[in-house]
Amino acid sequence: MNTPINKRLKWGILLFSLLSIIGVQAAEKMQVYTTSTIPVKEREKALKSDSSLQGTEVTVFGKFSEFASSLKSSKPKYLIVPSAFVEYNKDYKAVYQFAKGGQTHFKFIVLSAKDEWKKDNQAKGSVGIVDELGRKQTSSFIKAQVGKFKRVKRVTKTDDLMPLLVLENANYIIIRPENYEILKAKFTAKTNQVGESKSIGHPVICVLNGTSDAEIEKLGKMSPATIKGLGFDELRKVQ
Amino acid sequence: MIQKYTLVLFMLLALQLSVSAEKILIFRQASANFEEVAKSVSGEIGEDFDVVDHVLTKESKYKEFADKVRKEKPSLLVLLDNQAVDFAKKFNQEKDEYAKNLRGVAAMGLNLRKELEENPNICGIEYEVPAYTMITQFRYFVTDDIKNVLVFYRESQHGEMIKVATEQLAKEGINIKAMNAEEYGTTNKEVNFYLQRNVLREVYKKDTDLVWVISDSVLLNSNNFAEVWVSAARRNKKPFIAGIKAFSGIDMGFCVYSAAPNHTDLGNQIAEQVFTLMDDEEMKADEVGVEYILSVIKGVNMDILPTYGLDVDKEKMADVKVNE
Repeated sequence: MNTPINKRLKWGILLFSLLSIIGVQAAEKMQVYTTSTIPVKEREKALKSDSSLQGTEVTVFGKFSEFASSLKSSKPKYLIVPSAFVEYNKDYKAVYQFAKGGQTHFKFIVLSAKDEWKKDNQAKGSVGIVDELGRKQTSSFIKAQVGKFKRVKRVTKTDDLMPLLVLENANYIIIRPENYEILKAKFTAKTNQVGESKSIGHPVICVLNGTSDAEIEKLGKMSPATIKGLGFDELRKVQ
Repeated sequence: MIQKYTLVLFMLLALQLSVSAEKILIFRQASANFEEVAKSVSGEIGEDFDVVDHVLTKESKYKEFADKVRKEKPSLLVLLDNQAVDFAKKFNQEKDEYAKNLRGVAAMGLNLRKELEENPNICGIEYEVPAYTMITQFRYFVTDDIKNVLVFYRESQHGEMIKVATEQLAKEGINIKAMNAEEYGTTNKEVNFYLQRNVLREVYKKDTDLVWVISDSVLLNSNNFAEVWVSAARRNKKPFIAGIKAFSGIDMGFCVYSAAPNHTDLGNQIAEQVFTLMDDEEMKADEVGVEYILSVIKGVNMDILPTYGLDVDKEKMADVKVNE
């Protein structure tokens, strides 16, 4: 019988189903992992308040291992990751790149704490770096961009690099110059710059292959405040 | 015909066995910290190796350990505490080649640097948070200058640690004043007597900016804890720091700051050593050695810190937990 109550119930179920579908469709995911001295919460806040990412579920990870483990269970549509990540993950393509001071690229610096650990000796020494790519990829990345070391030691955060060097858990560390500037305020131990990497791209925004042009365009509308909140001052389209 | 198929099947099975992942056997205690480390290690290495987790109890005997190793035949051991390390050292003394050469990574044990001195089979990570990490990170967020650090230690146990810490902190412009609590003798009574006579007086001195407390059951015991240590901190209003989180809890009112092991990150550090050994069958564990623990959880007691006349820069405290 089509009583007014039954009618209302049917409309209610229909409306609920529609809302559920819209809800599922709207919740695209963006996951972020980059080495940064800006706290995770602050970067997440900046991204979540950006109108171009409205309806996107944003998660910023503080450790690569947590990011990698999440990526194994499901592949989010958007990522913000170190530029080298794309070389090892062919499901994604880089569509935008962050820039700082007009530069899209930088060079890692290589530091040692003892005079005997010069560049010439690096193949005999161990090197520490913040994990941004996973074990195998980190080793091949270092070999290609900086050169061969006897042993690579990955740490989970930038703060652990200086103790790694001064406590002699490693003979060298590889670090972004701006992160080293911040560490210098915490640790005053003398270090020697013994080398640098080849030119490395700043982090990129990636999309899962097959993402529509309209969605990619939308990502490019990220506000200057958000870009600044992530530690950069410009977002450029990857050609 | 049937024989031919049986042979092919047998070869396929043999192939499967030969490509199956190598095994890593973890020995640990049951408590939450051990579980957290074991979980973190498994998470890091689980994709590359078959991980077996075995819980030992205080009552466990060597036979339980040896039987488990013989049954699982792991390529490497992860040894989480001194009991597991002692059993592994004993296992390495058995006569067969497998037992003699079985390598291990140790952590969460006390004095591992000393325990594993010249041991070719077991490398590891010290559980004690280095003074360098603790003091430099505390200095970063307090606005007052920290130049002179007082520490009481036992020469028989901590002599090498104090020597190394003094060198490491000198690079940061920090001077360590180390007082050997075994000066009157090594018995608990003699150590207690020394501490009763010296702690309050030394802490009071003008040139003591900070007191580093070594977590050691002889230096800190039920007979002297409240009367000597807590009393010296409260009466002199000088900052004490330690590697045990509970010491900086507001209910204790003892230390202003603690830097305790981050167990998840410790698991990652152990995994790095596992990979290093597993990547190179020839590598002896003593080439890796005993490393310092790197990652810590920082806690501050904001109830007492301001009353000691210390100011903090809150912007630099993003990763410091305010203890409750």
